[in-house]
Amino acid sequence: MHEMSIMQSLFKILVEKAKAAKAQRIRSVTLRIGRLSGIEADLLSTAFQVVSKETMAEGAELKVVTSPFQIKCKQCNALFKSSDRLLFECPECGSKDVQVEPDDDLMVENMEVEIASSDL
Amino acid sequence: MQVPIYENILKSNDYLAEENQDLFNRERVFVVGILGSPGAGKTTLLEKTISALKNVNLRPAVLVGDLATSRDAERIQQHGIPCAQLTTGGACHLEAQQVNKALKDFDLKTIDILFIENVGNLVCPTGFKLGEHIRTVVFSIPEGDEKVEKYPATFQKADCIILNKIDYLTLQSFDVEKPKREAYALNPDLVWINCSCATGEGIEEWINYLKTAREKRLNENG
Ligand SMILES: Nc1nc2c(ncn2[C@@H]2O[C@H](COP(=O)(O)OP(=O)(O)O)[C@@H](O)[C@H]2O)c(=O)[nH]1
Ligand SMILES: [Mg+2]
Ligand SMILES: [Zn+2]
Repeated sequence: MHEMSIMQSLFKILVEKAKAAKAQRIRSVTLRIGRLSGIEADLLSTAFQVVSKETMAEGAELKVVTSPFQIKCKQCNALFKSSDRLLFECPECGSKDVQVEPDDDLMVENMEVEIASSDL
Repeated sequence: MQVPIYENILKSNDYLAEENQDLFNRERVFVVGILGSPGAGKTTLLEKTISALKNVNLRPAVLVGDLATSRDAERIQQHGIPCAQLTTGGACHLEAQQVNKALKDFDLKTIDILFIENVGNLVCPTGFKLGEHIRTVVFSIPEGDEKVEKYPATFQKADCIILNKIDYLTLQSFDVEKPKREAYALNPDLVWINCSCATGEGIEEWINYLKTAREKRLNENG
């Protein structure tokens, strides 16, 4: 499961940033995952729970932001979206000559941390 | 307190992949990543490719990623070219660091084109760059014409798609235009090749594509 490997990479970044911020605990983490990143958002939360065990992120909430597929019709220029299945046909004119936005983001956007009161 | 981050989660793999590619560029090795389901014909295509490249005086080498066995590497080694095996011990994809380590098994100065056959899998390897210059996805007629629709992320990142086992077309209903149209919707710059390792159809086109892509890259790197 490559989600595990991705979570380990994520953790390296989180720990580094948490140390720099003198954080004691990570409360939540927000990711932005593109529909063409090859990552299943659902599988990420399981992997996150496993990797965060006994770390400063244990019990933290993982928020995953995904956008719908965005498709443009090359015939009539209609822009359309689809949140479940990727559509290869324009709902406006029926053309199959379409272009899919290559949204392959795999970003960690921010995290919510707790800082010891003595460090504030 | 909120800490803004805005970083690519796979940045450390991306960084190592770039280092690999710098090394390939210095040594003037053109590197082709090969992805596809188990059984799509990746190793068979490489075997055909090796012979054809020798005929045009290009020196190939192969790095094979496999879950556990070294069967593919043994097949390639019979062709008398440099070949190394990366067993991932069950991991579903290769990462840039593993490729970097495996490069020590090669004398890059004696190689013109290096192929990296990834673990047979259409999902997991997608986000992990290895330092390859181009990516080729191999899929085959018996897998059905819904592959692109089902695995758009992998096909979107393909510079070249090989639809292999085209000789099976007579045995099975398969709408070649469907996955092709979908693949171009995902990536308009794509090169699509219908191929059969059994009859040799498409192999010449594939070799010409490799030659052109390699020359273009070498010119860009000066
Ligand atoms: N009929 C036919 N069989 C093929 C073709 N290409 C590969 N095969 C067969 O498909 C099987 C799997 O091929 P292999 O190269 O091991 O697939 P890999 O797992 O993607 O490396 C082998 O039995 C090959 O002989 C083809 O173009 N036509
Ligand atoms: Mg193989
Ligand atoms: Zn339209």
